[in-house]
Amino acid sequence: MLNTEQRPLSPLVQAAGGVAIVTLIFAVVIAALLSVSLYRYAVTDPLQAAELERLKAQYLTAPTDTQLAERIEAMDVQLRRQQFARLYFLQHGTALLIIDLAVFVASAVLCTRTWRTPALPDSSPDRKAEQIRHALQVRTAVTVAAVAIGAAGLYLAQRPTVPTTDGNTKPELPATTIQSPSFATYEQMMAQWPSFRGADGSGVCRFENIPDDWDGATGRNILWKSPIPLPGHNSPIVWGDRIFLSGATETAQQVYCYDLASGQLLWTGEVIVTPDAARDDMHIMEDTGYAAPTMVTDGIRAAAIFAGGDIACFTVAGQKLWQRHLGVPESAYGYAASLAAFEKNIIVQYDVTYDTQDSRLIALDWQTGKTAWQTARPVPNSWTSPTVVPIAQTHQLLTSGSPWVIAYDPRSGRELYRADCLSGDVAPTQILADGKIIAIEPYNNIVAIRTDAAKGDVTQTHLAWRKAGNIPDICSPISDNTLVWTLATDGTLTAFDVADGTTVYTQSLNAEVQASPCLVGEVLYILTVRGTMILAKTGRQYEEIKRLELGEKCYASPAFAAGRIVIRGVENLYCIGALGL
Amino acid sequence: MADKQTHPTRRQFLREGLWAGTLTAVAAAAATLAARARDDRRVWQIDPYKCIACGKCATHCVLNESAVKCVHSYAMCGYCDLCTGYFVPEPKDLTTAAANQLCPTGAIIRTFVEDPYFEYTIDEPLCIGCGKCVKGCGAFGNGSLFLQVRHDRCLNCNECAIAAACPSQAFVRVPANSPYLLKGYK
Amino acid sequence: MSHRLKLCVLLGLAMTAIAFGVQRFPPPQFETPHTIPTPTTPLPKSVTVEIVDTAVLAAALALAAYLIHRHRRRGWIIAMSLFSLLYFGFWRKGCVCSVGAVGNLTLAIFDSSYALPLTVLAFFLLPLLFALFFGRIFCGAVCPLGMVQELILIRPLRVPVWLEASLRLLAWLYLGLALLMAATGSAFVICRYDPFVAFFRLGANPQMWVISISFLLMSLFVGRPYCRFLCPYGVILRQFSRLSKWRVTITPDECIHCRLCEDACPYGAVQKPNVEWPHDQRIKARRRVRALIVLLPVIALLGGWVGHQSAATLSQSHPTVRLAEQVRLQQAGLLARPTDETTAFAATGQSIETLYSQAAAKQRQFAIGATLLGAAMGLLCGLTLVRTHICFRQDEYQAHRAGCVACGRCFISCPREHLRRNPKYPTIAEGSSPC
Repeated sequence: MLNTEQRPLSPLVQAAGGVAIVTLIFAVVIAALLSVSLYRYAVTDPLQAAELERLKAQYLTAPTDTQLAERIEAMDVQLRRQQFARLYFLQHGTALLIIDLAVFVASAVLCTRTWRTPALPDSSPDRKAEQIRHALQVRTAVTVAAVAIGAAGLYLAQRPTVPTTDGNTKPELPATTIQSPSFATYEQMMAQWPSFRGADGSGVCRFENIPDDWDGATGRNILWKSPIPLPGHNSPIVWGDRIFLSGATETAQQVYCYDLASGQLLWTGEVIVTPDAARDDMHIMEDTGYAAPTMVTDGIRAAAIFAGGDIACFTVAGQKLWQRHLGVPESAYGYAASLAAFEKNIIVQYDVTYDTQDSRLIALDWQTGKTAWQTARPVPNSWTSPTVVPIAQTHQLLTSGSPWVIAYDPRSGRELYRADCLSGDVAPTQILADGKIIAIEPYNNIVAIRTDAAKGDVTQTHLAWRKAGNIPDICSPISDNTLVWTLATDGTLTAFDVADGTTVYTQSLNAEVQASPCLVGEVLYILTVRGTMILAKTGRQYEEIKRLELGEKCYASPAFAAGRIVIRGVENLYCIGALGL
Repeated sequence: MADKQTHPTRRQFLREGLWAGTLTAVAAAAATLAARARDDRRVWQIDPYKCIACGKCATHCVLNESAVKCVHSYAMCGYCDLCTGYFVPEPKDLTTAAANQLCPTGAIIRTFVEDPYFEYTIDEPLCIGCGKCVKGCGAFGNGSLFLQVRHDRCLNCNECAIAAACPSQAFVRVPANSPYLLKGYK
Repeated sequence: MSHRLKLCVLLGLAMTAIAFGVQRFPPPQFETPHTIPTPTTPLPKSVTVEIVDTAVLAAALALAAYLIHRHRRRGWIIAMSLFSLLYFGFWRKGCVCSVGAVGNLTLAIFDSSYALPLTVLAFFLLPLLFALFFGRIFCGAVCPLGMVQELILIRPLRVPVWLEASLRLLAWLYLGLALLMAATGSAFVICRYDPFVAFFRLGANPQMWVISISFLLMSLFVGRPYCRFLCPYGVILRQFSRLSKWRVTITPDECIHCRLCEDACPYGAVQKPNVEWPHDQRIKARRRVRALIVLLPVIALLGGWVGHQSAATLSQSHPTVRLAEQVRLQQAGLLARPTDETTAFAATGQSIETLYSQAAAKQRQFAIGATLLGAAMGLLCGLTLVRTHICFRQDEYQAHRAGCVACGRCFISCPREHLRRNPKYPTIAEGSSPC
């Protein structure tokens, strides 16, 4: 500072200084009061004061207490007055604060005039060096700033891309405009073929007059053949006179409904492919495809789930009820668990990832798609399907994964019991045979677990038998409660005794098989990849009856209706039935 | 200095060229936008059919006393004795006692007209725009009580804080010469 | 008890009414004559007020041009600043201001359903037009935001050159974000985070008050922090001012290199004369410039990539995208309870497919916009770096064309200015001491 003389402060400046200090203090006080008031005004609500509510509740129990009534009235008035007083203070206080701040600034500027130094040259004689120094400093600073801004931008990117074209659900309609939700009972389900391998997942057909003779080349007993727009390995399901199946590619997902009598495609349901960043990481094997899980229906609605985690539900008439995105299931070969259903809910076996963290059993309400319950499953990804079976006057939901076979209560999802008996990539679905759960440990063992009085971990107590053999990796087993047959992909049929697991016979069928075998009466129906249906007698010895050619490759398991077989080829849907029946 | 005037430097030439170009560009942009501009001023208003009476109008207005107030469409009103916009869901009795009123500030005035009709008017200075009466009237009554931006109070901010917070995107820009969207009136 | 019954009956009636869609309670049939009142509809302020505002703006700009270029007296400039603060700030409540008009203009360009009011267009263009001729006189004596900061500056701290240069990048970033948000119809960001409008309106939510008070306190000791480091309109004004026909000069006529103005500007806008760099520096600089220019596309691409990464988060600023996200969470069962937004959406009966496709379209817009913004920021940083390697010849003390906000503080520090005001003092050439 050049001016070293201490000039005596003029009275104006002194006054200004005083005013500045006073107004500053005043401003701070008002600002504090305003903040408190603003907070209180924003937070409280005159009628919701806790004390008042308590008094009101008290009053409701003692309606004749006039003193209490008066207290409530008085408190209510006081609260309202307070609220308006606060509002008044806020409005006028702010104006007062502004004026006060203006006076403060004016006086501060006035009395700090002496602080301001006159303009002087700054002390840097070497302009050249200064220029270069400045240039260097600016360069560094700008680079640092650019990097900082870039880092901030990347920090914003931490948040994963939000998939916004997600599933579709119609908004909740008021209760008066939809029919009261109903559902099919288990018995009603058992009278149809509503899910993979029938209502109980056993593959056992209880319908009458199932055809045992047809020929694809001549068309004998082929009632109709309809093309399927999109491919998929899921098996058709049948309820009444409707057949449901789904098809999907990477970019499209559809549900189809065919008429059982004529084969006409009655309707196609679109299921939006939810764009999810995780879709880029999906490994969908060609053998699995995008529409591997079989649908489920209860006669009122039909639901389908796809490899990308989209599940949708339609009425049997074709009206879309809802769609949800459960998240892309991380599955080594592509998600394949077929849907199950029990009374009000659809049950999804969502076995995902390679460590046992995210797998769960999810129950969705048939009508609304809302999650009814979820139960965590201690298994990594699997390709089996859940099945609902009758056991001991009740119903149980069976599941297999590695290493647990777990039974749940299908209404609540509560785990009933589990057995540690599997390993590897489990794909064959478990069945119930002679009161025992038959589960397959691919390539290694076939396991039987007793279900009587099973509770908790039954590994040590309920394992009936465990046998090695030519154990399949894809096809699910079939049983007539005496023998249980397994079918390996290369066509090796093995029969085990249900009682103790002894191998009864092994037969090579010389055909590649992917579809699971079915049982009609006392005849095994085995559908090969080539499209040949091998009919064989049940019995302790293999006895082949005939082979029937369809003329198209088949990967999906057949479905049955009274007097009908519905077979899905890779391109066409066939209905087989003897005319006149 | 005289030299600078006779020999324009590259920089000067560049600058003058850019100047002319910018001036032309600004003029062109102005003309284009002015051609598309409307001469009717727009102000904010609530679409009463979208409003769900969430209560944010009372809290989000930049003014301490919100510019949004309840408006009563008398033509739509049923003049009911048990007004579900006036009374709490289970009133002890149908009087003007504060305990029975839905409005937290007592801003609805209930006057007897003739049996069984009562007229309900809004005392605007008391109304805080919370929408409780709107919800009650809309749920069980005719929906004749609804929230509207009052233009003698509204500052018509460029970025309306309530509009930004409205969950049903009910805030729309309406012409200033007909700035109200009243239910029951054209 | 009877009231409960009444309520039940009402509910029943109401439910039936909902089902049949008629007015639940029919209009009253009065026996005694009673006029049904109509609701009051107070009108907003008329259009003439806006026309007056625009006229006042034009007059103010003209007056500012005169005061800064001709009259050159700081006292008058302060008086005019006070008027601008009171009129454009407190009287007009600071809205719609030229700074915020950037958002309106951008929305009008990208959304054909939004028509820009002529007043807003005028408020946007007039200061720019004047800047093309007279420099940043809008900042100097008209902009209310600038006036607040100008009038409360007590003791300006020196901001080092490197800090000034790097913080100015923030202003560009703010402009870019404001343009992005306005173009996508998400928000008028400039208006939302305007630090001084809370004072003009005498009302704001608590967050805005905190921002406002912070800026006020900052402005006591740092000169015009908003103007220099954040104002998006200022970024545009800077570029226009670079091209202005007449620039704000420190000296009224010639520079005598007395160096007394070096410290006169609280905003660091006084440019000292440059000397040429030594030869080796110049060679190095040229080489670096060449390398930088080659690298420019790389930096731009990198910036674009960063921008693209941030697009998803930025898109959440749009209400439709936010709503779609909430609805998605609700569908996945992850929402603890329905929010106001999801309830309101359900009540509209709009299909979720439509909502999702709208949100997806918005996100695509953001992806493009954010990528462009990132690339532009990258390019800007690159060009700034190039600029540091160029040494412009400058022989005199000048007010930086872009940085000078025409406040007029430097005039009084120039001896030539003293001579101009007191012509009775002899000139330097005659050998007498100045002032």
